[in-house]
Amino acid sequence: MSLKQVWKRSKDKNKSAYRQFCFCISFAVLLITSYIMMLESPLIQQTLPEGGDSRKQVYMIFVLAAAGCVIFTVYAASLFLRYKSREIGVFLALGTEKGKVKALLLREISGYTAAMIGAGLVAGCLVSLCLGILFEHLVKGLSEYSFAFTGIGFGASLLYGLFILAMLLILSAHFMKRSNIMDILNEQRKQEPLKKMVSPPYLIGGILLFAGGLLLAFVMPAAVAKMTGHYMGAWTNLFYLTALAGLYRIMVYSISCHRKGRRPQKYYNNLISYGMLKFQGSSFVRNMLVVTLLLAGGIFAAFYVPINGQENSSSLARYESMYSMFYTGDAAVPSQKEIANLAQTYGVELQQYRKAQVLQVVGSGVNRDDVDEKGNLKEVYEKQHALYEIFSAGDYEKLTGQKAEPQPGTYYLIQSPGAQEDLFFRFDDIDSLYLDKWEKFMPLAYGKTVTYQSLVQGWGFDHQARLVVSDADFQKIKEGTEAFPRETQVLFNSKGGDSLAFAEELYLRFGQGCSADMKVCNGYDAWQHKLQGNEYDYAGKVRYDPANSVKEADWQYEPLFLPLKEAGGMKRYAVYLLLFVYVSIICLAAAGVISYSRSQSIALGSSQVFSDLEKLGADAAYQRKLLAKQLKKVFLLPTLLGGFGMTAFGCLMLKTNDGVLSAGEIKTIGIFFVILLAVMAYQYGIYRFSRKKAQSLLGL
Amino acid sequence: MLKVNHLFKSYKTGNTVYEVLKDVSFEVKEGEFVAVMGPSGSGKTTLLNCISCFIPKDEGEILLKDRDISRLSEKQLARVRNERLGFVFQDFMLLDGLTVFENVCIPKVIKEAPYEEMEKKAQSLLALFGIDAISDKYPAEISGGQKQRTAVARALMNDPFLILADEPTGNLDSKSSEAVIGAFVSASKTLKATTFMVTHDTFSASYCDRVLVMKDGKVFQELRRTGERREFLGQLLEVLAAMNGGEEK
Ligand SMILES: Nc1ncnc2c1ncn2[C@@H]1O[C@H](COP(=O)(O)OP(=O)(O)O)[C@@H](O)[C@H]1O
Ligand SMILES: [Mg+2]
Repeated sequence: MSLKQVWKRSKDKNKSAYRQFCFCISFAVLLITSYIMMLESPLIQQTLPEGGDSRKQVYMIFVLAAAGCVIFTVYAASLFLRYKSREIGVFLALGTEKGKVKALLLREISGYTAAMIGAGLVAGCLVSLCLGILFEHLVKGLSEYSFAFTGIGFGASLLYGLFILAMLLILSAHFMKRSNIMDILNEQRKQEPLKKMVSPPYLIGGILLFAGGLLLAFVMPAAVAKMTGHYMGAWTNLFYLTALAGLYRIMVYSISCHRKGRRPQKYYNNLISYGMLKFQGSSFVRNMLVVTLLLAGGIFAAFYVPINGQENSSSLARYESMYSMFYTGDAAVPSQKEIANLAQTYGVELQQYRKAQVLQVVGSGVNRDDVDEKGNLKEVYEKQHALYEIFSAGDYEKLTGQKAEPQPGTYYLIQSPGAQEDLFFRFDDIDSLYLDKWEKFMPLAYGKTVTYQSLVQGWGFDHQARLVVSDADFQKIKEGTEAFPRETQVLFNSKGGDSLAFAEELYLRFGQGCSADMKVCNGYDAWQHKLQGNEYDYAGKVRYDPANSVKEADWQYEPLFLPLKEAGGMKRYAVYLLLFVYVSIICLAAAGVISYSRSQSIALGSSQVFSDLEKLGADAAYQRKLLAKQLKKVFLLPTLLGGFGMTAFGCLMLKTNDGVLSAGEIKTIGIFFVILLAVMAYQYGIYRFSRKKAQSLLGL
Repeated sequence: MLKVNHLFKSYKTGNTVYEVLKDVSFEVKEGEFVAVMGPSGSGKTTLLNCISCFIPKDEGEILLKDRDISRLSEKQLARVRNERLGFVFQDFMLLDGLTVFENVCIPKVIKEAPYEEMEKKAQSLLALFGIDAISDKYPAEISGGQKQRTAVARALMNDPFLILADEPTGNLDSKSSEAVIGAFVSASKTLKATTFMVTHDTFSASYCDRVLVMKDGKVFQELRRTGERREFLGQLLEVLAAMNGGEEK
């Protein structure tokens, strides 16, 4: 019988180890492939705003999930090597050349891994295709983009597979590198005990590190910025590592420190369990930490769905008019009559069409774009700072129905409901306007803010500020300026009909008819452009597609049509839903598989202890209880820490974004807890399954 | 204390049946220290495993204080193992994550006994076997002889009717062996423990009150110590030599 045959024979005996190994590899590749395929398909790429926060977050959490998947394949591989170690050790002890055994092992590992990566790739493509088709149906009628496989998607998935292959080969080569046969023989029983003698100060230190890290990384920068105007920079994120170190200590303590303390009887009753746990070692704690992070990541991703849904619906409710658009005088955009005709073809009834002239005029302001060398924000007053838009009080009342009577020489700032001054913008930044025709400055003082969301442009400050002045002042400004084109602001509502199709058509015609001056991005200011000339950063950067209103544009003159916003929001929301739910599934799956394989290796590692205990008179029920206690440690602490930690963080986020909890946000918190419960139920399910498997492994 | 009547045990591998124990009968009296000797493969471990019901027997009776323990349910059996029997194994079988003191406590921990009494008992056993100084050390930090003395102390924790030991000195050098045998002897003298020990080692066996010699699945001979230990050792060596010689012919 050749060495190869012996090797094969022993494989037949270890089928379950092989099966588990194969499952883990192909599962990891499946998850990642299907996700990358989905993410890189035009369907998603066309809907996720480029350079936006959500895109960043999707990728960030995905990186966490991908790392989690790598970790669980590595665990699966080391578990597999532990199964194999005994027989490898015997081969070596009997004088087989190490090179030969190593070649056999590497060939076997690479063969299986490659096959499983292939299977995972194919299955991942299938899963993403199913999801893609499902998703196309979900957003039908809103998008002409469809799901498709892309080269990038496939390439990235393949790369991920190759990375896993490389990792596992390195791991196996490293495993074989150990010269000591006894080490390999004993691998199956190997444990790395927690040697540290931990004491209560160690725990207190851990808690302090954890809380302090969070405080310094999350709370401090915001607080400092609010109080002193000093922006601290991204380096404060490093304190999250401190928090992580604290978490590690808390876990080490929970595993290794048990004192007789005040309840000696309880201590003794749990003595065996404590002793076994202590011997699970530091890899066990690292394992718990990884699972905690994955669970937190998974929950965070899941939270994104209700947070976004809540923001979307609550932000739309603030608009007073269904349609809002403004354009320069020379634009060939549809007139009231054309709009009415268009509306008719879609069975839409036009209502409350209102129109007003808007002046563009340069005014003073405060430049807060830079920080000094100490990191403090620099405030530079500029007499001629930006181009502002001016409404007359009469027009404002006509447009909004609100009475606004600014005193001559004062302005009202049009703002969103609940708008606040912040570090960069103040309501009273403007103190004069420049009347270019007369070459004269006209003093203007801040009066108050007025609220009308449909008239707010962009973030409503700086060059996007819109002011209301008295009719007399308006007249004066009109006469004294000529440098920048006049604009027209239009508001109207509609009733019935296919308002979505109507809005899409109007969006298209508006986009096609807009003038050269209107083809500018949100950050663009015509005055600064004139001032800086070719140096100006924001010139020529507009991004919009008249034919696709859903795709997020960076376009200062983008018309604001609620039917489009709603539909786009729904679609974007559906995309978020899918992506974040999927990332969440990947994180949770990775956490589940890691916990499961850790449970199995606990069972494997302590089989000797269990048989010893049986001889000492521990009956099966006692052993089952003991096993359950061990496994609970794998699941309970990470679930509690990751789950409640993330939920608390989510609530804090809702609270700190605007300082209050609205009714919608309270509902969102309710959903948080539903998600938390679901994750706990999931973990409990995995625990039950792992326990059952571990019991059968130990013959209990 | 222990009565074994007409014990039969065979192993089946494939189609062949190996008869290992063929009609073994003997008795161990209360307070006695009995050793079983015999060539390797003669069925000593099998006998011990049958007595402790780790493996099922084919036929015969095993009476512990006149109660047939081979007929007990798994739960009752666990109780008997925990409270009525004490075990000492060749490879110590201590839990690595617990200290010497805690390891000794395990039999009482398993039945969740009140702790004050348990601590006292463990302390006194550690003192009796001269290992109280290392009571806070972990198994990885102590010698083989100390480990095995810890195991003997553990076996005595519940004041069992009978201690069963399988080659307790098999993994030890002669000096450590002596210390471990010393522990058994003081258990027998001080605590009046009854001990049934399988051993390969004639020197260890010479400390016993009685030695059963097994051969071919039967109790081949029984030797009782009457005088000095040295004398008994000589006697044992003679018998074993004769037995091996007989085998060669
Ligand atoms: N589980 C088993 N299956 C089959 N045969 C066994 C088994 N255990 C022991 N034997 C056989 O029984 C005989 C006695 O073994 P054992 O009781 O271990 O002997 P000793 O302890 O005296 O060296 C040996 O021939 C051995 O091959
Ligand atoms: Mg034996």
